[in-house]
Amino acid sequence: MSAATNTTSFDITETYLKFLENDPEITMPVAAIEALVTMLRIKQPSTSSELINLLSDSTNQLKKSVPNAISLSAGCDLFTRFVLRNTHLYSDWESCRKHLVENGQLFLQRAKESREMIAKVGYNFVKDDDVVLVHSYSRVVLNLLHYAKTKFIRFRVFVTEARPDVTGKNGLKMANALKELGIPACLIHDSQVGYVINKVDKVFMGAEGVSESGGIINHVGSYQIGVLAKNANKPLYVVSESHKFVRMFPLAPDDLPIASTDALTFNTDKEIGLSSDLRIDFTPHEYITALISDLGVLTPSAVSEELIKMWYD
Amino acid sequence: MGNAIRWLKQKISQIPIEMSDDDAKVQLNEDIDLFIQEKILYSGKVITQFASGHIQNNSKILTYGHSEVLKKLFKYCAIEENKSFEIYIVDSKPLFEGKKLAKELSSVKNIKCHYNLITSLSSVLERSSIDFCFLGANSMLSNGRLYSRVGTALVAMSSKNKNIPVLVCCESIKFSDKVQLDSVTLNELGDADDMINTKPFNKTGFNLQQYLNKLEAKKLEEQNSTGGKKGQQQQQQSKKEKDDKLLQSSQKNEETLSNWKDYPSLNILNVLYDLTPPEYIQKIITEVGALPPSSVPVILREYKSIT
Repeated sequence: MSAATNTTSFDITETYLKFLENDPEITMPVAAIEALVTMLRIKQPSTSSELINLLSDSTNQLKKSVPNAISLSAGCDLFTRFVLRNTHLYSDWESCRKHLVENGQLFLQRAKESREMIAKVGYNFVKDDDVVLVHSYSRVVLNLLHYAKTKFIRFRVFVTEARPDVTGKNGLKMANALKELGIPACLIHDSQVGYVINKVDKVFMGAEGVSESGGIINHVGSYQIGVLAKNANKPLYVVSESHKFVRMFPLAPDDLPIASTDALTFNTDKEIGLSSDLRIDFTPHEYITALISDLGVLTPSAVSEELIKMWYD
Repeated sequence: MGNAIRWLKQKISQIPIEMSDDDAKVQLNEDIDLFIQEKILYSGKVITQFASGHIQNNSKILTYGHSEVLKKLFKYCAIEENKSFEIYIVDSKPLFEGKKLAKELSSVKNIKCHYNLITSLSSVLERSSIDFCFLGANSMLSNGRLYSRVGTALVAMSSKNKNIPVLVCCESIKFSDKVQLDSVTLNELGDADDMINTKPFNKTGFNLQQYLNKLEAKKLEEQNSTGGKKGQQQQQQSKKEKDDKLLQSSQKNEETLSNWKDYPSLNILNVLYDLTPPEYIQKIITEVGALPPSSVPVILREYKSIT
């Protein structure tokens, strides 16, 4: 029995990582849900309680194995919620399981299409001759800007470098991607945002997770940009799929459940250089003008409403 | 409270007509017990679970007045979770509800209590680096405003000014679909005499007393050096004069406002509740989870069928 569970736990993280590798367009929560659906298909639990136990074990396994687990936990919680709601709809266990797997696939398909929906909803926010500021690499924002370009809207983009950026996968990747699409981009340092904020018309940002208060958890530096934008009276639009809404309510950046508190220690040892361990921060809802999601354009207070509807007993 | 009465009326109307009075009463009693268990006692426990994550070791917490839920929360964190922290209790007249809380919490070993009146609130916030402000609620209105003991709005506003997050712990039974824009529209008045019937403060301050003692000592020396008995008599006389004067002034104090009803243009206002706007509140912790103040109507809407 233990050998079987060992292979399961081995599978879930492996499967999850494989999904992430195979499809570069996929987001973390969607990959998690795909992995969980696959697990359901393979493991074939015979009772609903076994299913629920299996699900909670696998989600805990996943959450523990990945360092930055916020959007991942959003996906897992969403799937758990969906399963729990639908288990008592069917009396026959087999059809219930089939229904779950089918709906799981449907959900995944919808999630992949959500980026297109967001682009359709949000491209109107980009007007002709706009100067837009984006932070770090975000596929949703990229998709939205690309769609705006195809609608013959001409605009220019400032891209922040988004350090700490060890592998050049943040700002540099975003700037190159934009240039490849034919959108004029300018890569700036994070410290130059204060300088350019007055030249910018609006700010677009992706999100790793959207908290219950409407605030977002995103790559570190987002909070700074939010404050600067608010001060300069520039609108800040967060672009995010609805499956990234997570039931968290952080009060401040240090209220996030990420174990990286060793990063900010004071010492007189010159060998220790930059504290590059902090990768994410929290931007409170008062800095965000609107949230463009596949559910439409929402105000930050509507996020809580959506979450409550999702989790309504 | 209106919610509870409405629920009871609904329950009464749901009783089938065939049921005898006694059976109906028994069932109602059971229902009421269940209601109390679920909505009040159990909710308190769940709120405690949610909110205890914020209180860490060596936290400094500000609270106002007396709230059952908060008392349970603080006791739980100190006793069951064994965290040691400091609580600053802010209080105000005429009810002095904070005294009850201070009395109960000071006997708990892990809690260090500070007791202040609301008049010294700005000094408290200035000097101590408070981490959180926990407030209790009388009710939450539909437009996200907190209806609670008078003085709460002041504490919330001052905390927000110092960037101290304000957290409200409130059971969902206290959510009301009323909308109120200011504290004056609908409020309760307490007894006006409570505001003036405090013991007159006729104690001379410490510094003044020292000065008076010094003066007397000086006088004694002078008189001892000049005359003998005569000096003493004079001393006693002057002392008596002083005491008489003091007595007179204290008596006057008692008279000052006790006949306020005779003055036609004087009115004493003892308002009991006030309204805290949602921008001062960071998070509301209920048994259904933590939510921003703007989501109160959503909870009312979604959970209406359950009540």
